[in-house]
Amino acid sequence: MTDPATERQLRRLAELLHVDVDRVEFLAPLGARELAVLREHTARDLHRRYPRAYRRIIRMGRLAPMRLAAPFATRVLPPRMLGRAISGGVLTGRTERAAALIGRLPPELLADLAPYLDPAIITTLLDITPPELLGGVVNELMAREDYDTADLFAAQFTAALTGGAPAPGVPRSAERPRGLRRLLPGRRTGA
Amino acid sequence: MSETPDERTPLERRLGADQPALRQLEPSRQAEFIALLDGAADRDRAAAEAELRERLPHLPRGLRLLATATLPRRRR
Repeated sequence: MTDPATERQLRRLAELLHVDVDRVEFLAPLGARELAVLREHTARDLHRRYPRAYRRIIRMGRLAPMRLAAPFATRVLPPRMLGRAISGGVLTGRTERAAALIGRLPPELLADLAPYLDPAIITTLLDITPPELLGGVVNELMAREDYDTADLFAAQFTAALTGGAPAPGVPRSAERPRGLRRLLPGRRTGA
Repeated sequence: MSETPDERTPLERRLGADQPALRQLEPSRQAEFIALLDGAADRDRAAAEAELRERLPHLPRGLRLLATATLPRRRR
């Protein structure tokens, strides 16, 4: 009989792979701890592939004027597509554009798309998202009891506070920090 | 200088990971998981497209045309 922790990890792995849980049940003997590690490796592998799968929408996001991109993002795109597109934009170094778009989105929509973001871009989001907006997103995630996603933000924020290395694969912005990082010790700029 | 042989399984190499516990899986099970990995991005994209198609009828005409442009063309 599978213990609850292992069952939960199997369910989360199946969700990540977009299959029914019975397709991954053969992994149960690995146990919860190893499954959690496998899920992390799997997520990293998939997020490496998503920019290719979503290249059309990422290209549109790059080319469209912001006055069109923002209403298009808020009214048309499902959260999954928007989350993947923002991740793709950030991963290809277009943080200015991503920041401009994110700043126009309400916290509720950002909470909708947060589960679909590449965890590797969360540190960059701390740089480019206004603190009050980010706080609104985390509050919204907590209200929805989506602790897994809220935890992603908390873990990266803690790493930033303690001087931990940012997640790999994300081009660092050379511009002035604007998000929560602006408030961190040693990161303040200006008077 | 001799190189250390790579003891990792095909699944570990595919994931770019070093997770010895995966070595207890039979090769057929590893291949099964790699197949799930291979199809996952396409399934995600298909789910996103289905979500977008559900929204299309509720959009104003201009936005609907723009949204349709983000979808892949259907093959005849």
